[in-house]
Amino acid sequence: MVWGTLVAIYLFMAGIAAGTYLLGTIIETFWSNRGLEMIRKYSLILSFPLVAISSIFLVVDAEAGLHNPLRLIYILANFPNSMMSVGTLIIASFQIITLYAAWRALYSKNQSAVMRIIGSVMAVGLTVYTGLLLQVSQAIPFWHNDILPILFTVSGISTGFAAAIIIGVYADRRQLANLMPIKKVHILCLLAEGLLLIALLSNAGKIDGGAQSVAKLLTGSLSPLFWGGLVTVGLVLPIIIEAYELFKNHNVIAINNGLHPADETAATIDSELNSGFSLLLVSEGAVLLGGFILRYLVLAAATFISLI
Amino acid sequence: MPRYGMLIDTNKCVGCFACRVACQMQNSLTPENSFIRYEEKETGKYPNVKWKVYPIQCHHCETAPCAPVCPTKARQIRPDGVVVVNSKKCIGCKYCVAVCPYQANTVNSKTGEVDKCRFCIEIVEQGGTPACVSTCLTHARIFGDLDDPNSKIAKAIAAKKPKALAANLGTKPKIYYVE
Repeated sequence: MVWGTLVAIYLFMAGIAAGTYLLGTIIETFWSNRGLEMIRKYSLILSFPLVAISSIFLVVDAEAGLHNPLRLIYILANFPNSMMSVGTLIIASFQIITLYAAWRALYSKNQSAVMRIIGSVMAVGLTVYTGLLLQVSQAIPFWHNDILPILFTVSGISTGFAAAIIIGVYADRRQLANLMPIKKVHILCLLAEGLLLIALLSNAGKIDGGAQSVAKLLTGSLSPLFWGGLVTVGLVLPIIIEAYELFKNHNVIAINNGLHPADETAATIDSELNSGFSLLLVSEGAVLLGGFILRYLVLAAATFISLI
Repeated sequence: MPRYGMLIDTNKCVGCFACRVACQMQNSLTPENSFIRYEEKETGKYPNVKWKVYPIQCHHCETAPCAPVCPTKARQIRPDGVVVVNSKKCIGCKYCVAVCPYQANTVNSKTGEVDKCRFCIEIVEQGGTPACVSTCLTHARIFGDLDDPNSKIAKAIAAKKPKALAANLGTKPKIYYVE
């Protein structure tokens, strides 16, 4: 493996940071009156430490730079030729943006419109970059695939939403009832992720080197993690739970529209919210786990082209 | 200005791995690091089979994919075509490792710096030949100036019609293999 667990953690956290920032900004811009205030606040506050910590993993993996920190000043020397230099610049500027967003959110203020636009572009740029970093390599056909940046972007949004929902609902359970707009986008992301994964595998399976990677994932040494971790836990389980919740939520709305049982006490509402939070913890936790496993598997499945 | 390259005759190579040892000695590498690795190929059907060894190291590609991806510009292509690493600038990000089709890079187990073959350029500049070439028992390796039609390597390439590995990627490698 060229890059291992440390880089997988980095790609994973950078994706979440971009996703939480995007969700916070979307709520701020489009869903400001939907009772999602806590989710907005915590997703914007969460983004900065995530992107900052993610870059630490990158430096720890770059051992020679870790031993000689002064060398890191050269890291922008090859901008814009090296995707690594481009990524460093994106991460650095995204840290500034998220720090600003976190500061605004802490004081319950909105970001300025200009910062929202710049920040959203940088957030998408960050997730696209995590895929492009790998896509550049002609030597590893499984990575040299245009779907990878799109898949990482969708997965980044999906994991970011998951993290933001968990923290936001943990802070204020009542928001559970207002998650509909987020859940709708989220389930679309998960479905798109599944389709993109199929497209990635079928594309890569056709070429020399890529086929070996696909075999490793589907039937080889990585297959337990692929089928059990990524497909079952990361995609199927959350899709089923979220679909069930969307369906149930429709019924709740129908009840609220006329047939609301009058004898429902505060205690039963409370226990409903708690059980709702437990279910949410399972489904969103599964999304997060799946997001990490996706990145780990993409790195672990790397196979070089055959030479002779 | 010369344009250095190498020819390896796989029909002469006996797979003794002396080139790797000479290279490790020359570059004071630890046993777990080496600039030369080997791939093997079996052809034919029993009982008429052939087993060949392909020594693989940095191919000093003309459009080396490792150079543009290096964020610190530690990778440079010299005017004579030799791809060199300034280890004082290497941060060990391993991007070069990820893009090299030949898997010719090695991460130093002590420092984390990435290093690779540089055609023993310090010996070549003194008029010598790289350690792997001078140590080869069967003279399977020829080193020289590809642009000089009178050089041993240019003549050998003209006569033996060798092939480059992974030539389809368009990196224009400068190690040729006689098969």
